[in-house]
Formats: sequence, C-alpha cells, structure tokens
Amino acid sequence: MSSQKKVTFAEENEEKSGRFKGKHSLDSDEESDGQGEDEGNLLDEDDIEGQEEATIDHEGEVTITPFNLREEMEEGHFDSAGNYFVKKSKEIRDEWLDGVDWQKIDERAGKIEKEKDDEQFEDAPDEINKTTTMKSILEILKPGETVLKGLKRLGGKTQTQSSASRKWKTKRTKLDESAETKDSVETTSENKDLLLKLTGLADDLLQAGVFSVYQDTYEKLAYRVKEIEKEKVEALDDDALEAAFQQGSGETSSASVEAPKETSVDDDETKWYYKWKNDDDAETFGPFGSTQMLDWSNEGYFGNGVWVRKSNQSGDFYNSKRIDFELYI
Amino acid sequence: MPLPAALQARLAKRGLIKTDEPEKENTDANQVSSGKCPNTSNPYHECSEYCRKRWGSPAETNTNEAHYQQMMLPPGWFLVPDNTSGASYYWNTMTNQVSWLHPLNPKAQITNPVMSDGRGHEVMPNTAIPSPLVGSDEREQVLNIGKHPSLVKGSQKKMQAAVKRKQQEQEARARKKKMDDLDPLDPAAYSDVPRGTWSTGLVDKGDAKTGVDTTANGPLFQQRPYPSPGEVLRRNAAIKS
Amino acid sequence: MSYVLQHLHNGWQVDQAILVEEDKAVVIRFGHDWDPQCMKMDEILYGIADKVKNFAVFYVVDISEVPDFNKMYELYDPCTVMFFYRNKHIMIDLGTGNNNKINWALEDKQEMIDIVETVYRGARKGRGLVISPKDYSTKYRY
Repeated sequence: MSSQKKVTFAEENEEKSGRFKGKHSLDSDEESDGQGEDEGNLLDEDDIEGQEEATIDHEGEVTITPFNLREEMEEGHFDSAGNYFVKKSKEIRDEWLDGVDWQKIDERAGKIEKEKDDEQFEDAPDEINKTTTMKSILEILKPGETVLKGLKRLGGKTQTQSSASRKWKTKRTKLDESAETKDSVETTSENKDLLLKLTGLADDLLQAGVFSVYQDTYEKLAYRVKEIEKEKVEALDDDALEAAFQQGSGETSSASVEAPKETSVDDDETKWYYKWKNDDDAETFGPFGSTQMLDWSNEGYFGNGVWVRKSNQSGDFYNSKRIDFELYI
Repeated sequence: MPLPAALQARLAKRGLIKTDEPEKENTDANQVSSGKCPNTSNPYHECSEYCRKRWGSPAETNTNEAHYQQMMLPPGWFLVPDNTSGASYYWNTMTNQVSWLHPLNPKAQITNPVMSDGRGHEVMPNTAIPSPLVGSDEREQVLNIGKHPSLVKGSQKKMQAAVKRKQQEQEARARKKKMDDLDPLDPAAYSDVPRGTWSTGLVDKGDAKTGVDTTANGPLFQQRPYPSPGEVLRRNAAIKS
Repeated sequence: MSYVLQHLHNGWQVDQAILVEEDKAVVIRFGHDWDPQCMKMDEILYGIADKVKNFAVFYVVDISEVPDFNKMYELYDPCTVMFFYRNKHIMIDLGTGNNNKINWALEDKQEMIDIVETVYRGARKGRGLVISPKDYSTKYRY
C-alpha cells in the first residue's frame, strides 16, 4: 500500500519535471495548483474500512471483482475527504503547445505589466491636461453645440452626401474647376483637419475618464474647465456652497467664499426639527443632521411621514415624505 | 237588373262585375270618346301622372293603329315600306329593332329583324334609308318629326336619369369596396372619425403645440421637461424657414 | 414692484440670461406686469430675490412682448413661473399634476424660498425633477 503511494508520488514528480522540460498540457496549471494540498491529505488505504481481500478471479465465465479499492488506487488516489482523483499520466497533449517558447512568453508578460505601471504613472499628467484638452475643444465648438453636433457640422457636408451625388459632384468639379469650388474644397479640408483634431481631443478626454464628452455642450465644458481651475486655485469644493446656504441672505458672496473648509461636516449640514403631528403644541425633536434624517426616513422610522422644518428657518413644517434629505447632504 | 251604363263601366273597371263583349266594346268606345288627354295635339305638352289618371293613359285605352299613325314617332324610328308584303313597318335606326305597329302602341311587338327571306335588312343602323315611299323632302320631315323637341327632351331626361343611376351605382360599389378594404381595427371602422391617409397622425413640426415630448405618456407624462429657451428659439426658426 | 426685477425683452435675452448663469438656478416669470396674479407673484419674487441671490436669479418676461415661448412652453395661464439650471428646464412636482411650472401666484415667501432652494439643490445633484416641500394639490386644483 505504501508502495502504491510512492508510485503516485513518483509519477507526479515525473509529471512536474516533465512540465519544465517543455511538455505542456492544457491542465498542467490546475495540476500544479492542487498538487500541494493533495499530497498532504491523501487517503491512507488503512483508513478505508471493510475492505476484503481478493478470493477468486473467476467463477465460471463471470469475473469477480474483489471488494476493495486496490484497483482504483492503482489508477489514481483518494484524498482524505474521499474524493477520487484519476492519475493524469496519460494526458492529452496539445502539440502546438510544444512549439511555444515559454520563456519568451514570461518575458513579454513582464513587459506588459511594466507598461501598465508606466501608464498609470502617465495618467497623472493626463489629469492635468484635461483642462487644456477641454479648452482646445471649446475653441473648435460653437456655443450651444455638443461635441457630437460639432463633429456632424464639420464632417457632415462631405459625409451626408450619398455616393451617387458625390460622384456627380466630383464629375462636375472636374468639368468646371472654378474658383468657388476650389474654395469650398479648401474649407472642407480645413473642416477635415478640425474634425480630426476634435475627434482626437474628445478621444483623449474619453480615455481620461470623461465619458460624457460627446454629449457635453459647449457651456458644460466651459463650466467644467472653470470648475477644475477653481478647484486648483482655491481648493474649494461644494462645502463652500453649503456654507453660502448656511450663512444665509445677509452675507456677501465674498464672505461665503472665505468660509473655511475646515469646518466640520456636521456644522455645514442642514439641520432639521421634526414633530409627529402638525400641531402647534406638538413636541418638536431635533435638530438632527440631514444624514441622520435620511437614514431614518430610509429605515422607515418616520412611518407615514413626520413634519419637518429646517433649523435655520422659521415657517411651516413640511411633510417629510416630500423632502428629499439627500439633497441637503 | 240593368245597371246604368256609367256605373256598370266603373264596376267593370274595378273588376266587380263581369262584362260581356258588347259591353266591353261599349266601355272602350266610351273611354275613347272621353278618355283622351285634350292636350295630345299640343306638341309642348307631356302627359303627366295627372293626365293619365284624369283621362286615362292613351296607351292603355287606345290601341287603334290608325290613331297612332297620326302620332309622332319617337326618335330613331322611321316608317319603312316592306317590299314583300307591300305594307310598311317601323324601324329603329339606332337599335335596328322593327315593329309592324307604331312603337308607342302598347300592342306593338318590337322585335329584332328576322331574316327569313334570306334578304333581310341590308341597311345598317344610322344609315340613310332608301325609301321609295317618301321623297327626300318628306323624309326630312319624318326625321324632323322624329326629333321633335318634346320627345327629344323626354328621352334626354330618361338618358340623364339613367346616367345618374349608373353613377350612383358606381359610387355605391366604390363605397362598398372601400368598406371592404377597411381594417376592422382602424378607428374609422368603428367610430365616426374620417378615414386617415398615410400621413395622418404623423407629427408635423410646424404643428407642434408644445415643446414637450408629446409621445410620452403614462408615468413619463409628468416627467417631460420643456426644451431650453435656446432650443425653443432654434425650433421656432426652423419652423419659420 | 416688478420693475425692480430684471425684464427680458426678447427671446435671445432669455436664452442668454439662462446660458450665462453657471451655478445658479434661473427663475423666470412669464406673464404680464399688469396682471394682478403676476403682481402678486412679482412681489413675492422681489421679496426673496435678495435672500436667495447666492443660488438663484429672477427674471420677468412679458409674454406679449416675447411671444416666442408661448407655444412651446404652453404659457396659457396669466402667470407662470419656470425654473432653469445650466440651460436645462428643471421640473418640480408640486402635487398639481403639472410638473413643468408654477402657474398660480404663491402666497408665502418662505414657500417660494423653499421651492427655489429645492430646485437648486436638486438640479445641482443632476435631478431633472424635484419635489416641492409643500403639496399644492389640495389648494390649487386644475
């Protein structure tokens, strides 16, 4: 029995070494993965209960198989959980794999990974270039135009013509090469350059992660450029606008810009009072932050809705069902 | 019990009493004498329903060929002498029909000509009739008489009525055909709406009553924003141009 | 009071007024200055214009002077208030069934402030349709 074990070991080892010799099989990878574990929990034949020795081989013409697993053990092995593995000594070999130079493949894989790393490094400067790309797109686009529309405008003249009419036109231009047609040809070529440039720029933006480039209007792009620049210069974000809300009407806009970013989120958030009934003498609770209110309403704590009011405002209480607390976070 | 002649005649007319031959002749004579529209000699008069009721239809009452021979022929009919029998017959040059009796006579049997004698009519309809009986002048007259305004007018009316009837029939047939083609699910098939054409229901840009997406319905109906003012101006310009 | 609110005198001005506001809600009142409903609404708008100036601007359009939008925006009511943000029409669920506009005169300034704020906050978060804090379905029937 132990000798059998040894046999399996020997064969598997042989197989492993065979891999390094350059003989590859389709499932060689899987094999190597599972091998280590299997070796540890091989089922010892002693652990199998109720086995019987072979008695006779034949009774007349009927072959009698002995009630044990010895035969199976020769063709494979069990692990400790009782799973049977057939030995893969006779594996189906893909001949084309023999011709593969595995060393080269490994080298190449390493290279690709390196390149990927390089790209990640390059992404950072791309981020910075986004604004410049957007700006150059803005130069090409007309106000109110999306990139898509711009492309249509620039490319449309030549592309929308049916082939027949184009043929006809080229024929005509050949016939009378007047200055006008030349001019139009020039403008179309100019447009073509612009078109190519615009396509390239939009593609760059798309690569940089701005997936809505084609749908963005001139105004939106302009706004984005401004926003990015603003972020860079003043390191401001939406919190400042929140602050503008909080500070209310009396404050000047410059004051709102000056609002320190460091103020904690809780202070910035709109706070709410709520009461369970819309009566004047009903008990009011709060103030609570919008996040808290959102959580509560999402959890269904408010049931059929409570009556809420912003902490910084006087006025009516509104039904919480109609208030989207998410907007105030 | 002898009845008074007038009463007897009336009863006989209603079919209440049986009359024997002399009596019938009597009534006939009676009617001939009294039952004739006094306006028959007036060429501009056309016997109306009233005349027939009041005086009795001349065709019903009067079958005397001699009486008809004085009457004018309907258009297309001419009096032609028959060479074999020596008598003359009536021939319609338009339909090529013939009749021994005057065509207006109800007893007249208007038939197609039979060419039993192997000779038949060699004259074709609408061709000049070789008539030894009447001279060219007289023939002119006959033709003129045939084309008498009153009769021509009547026939025209008949023709017009026929044409009208034909048109109505055609229309009815067309309508029926149209109805057959109608898809049972077409709103025109089950409601009062007029049948649409190919372009019915297509949104005409110029006809847009609103800037919102009119095709949105159901829950989308209340979630359709208006276009931006710039877009509105552009659309307006597009509609104008 | 409406003469203090800025008037827009043609379609192009309306377009530009909305285009130039990059981070503010644009509230436009369509109607006639002489209309009593509009007068009421204008007073409210004028009263809150200063309070919401950080996130909203108000304009007034005479629909007789600028008829360009009457058809497309279905401006059949004496007084209509519409909201725009970054050249986009922002709808608001008022409970009335018409989410496109406020077509009556509001009574309360605070209500209008709340509506404008909701519109601005919602629009900034990319919502095309926001819910007004107050339900007007019982008060104003169609």
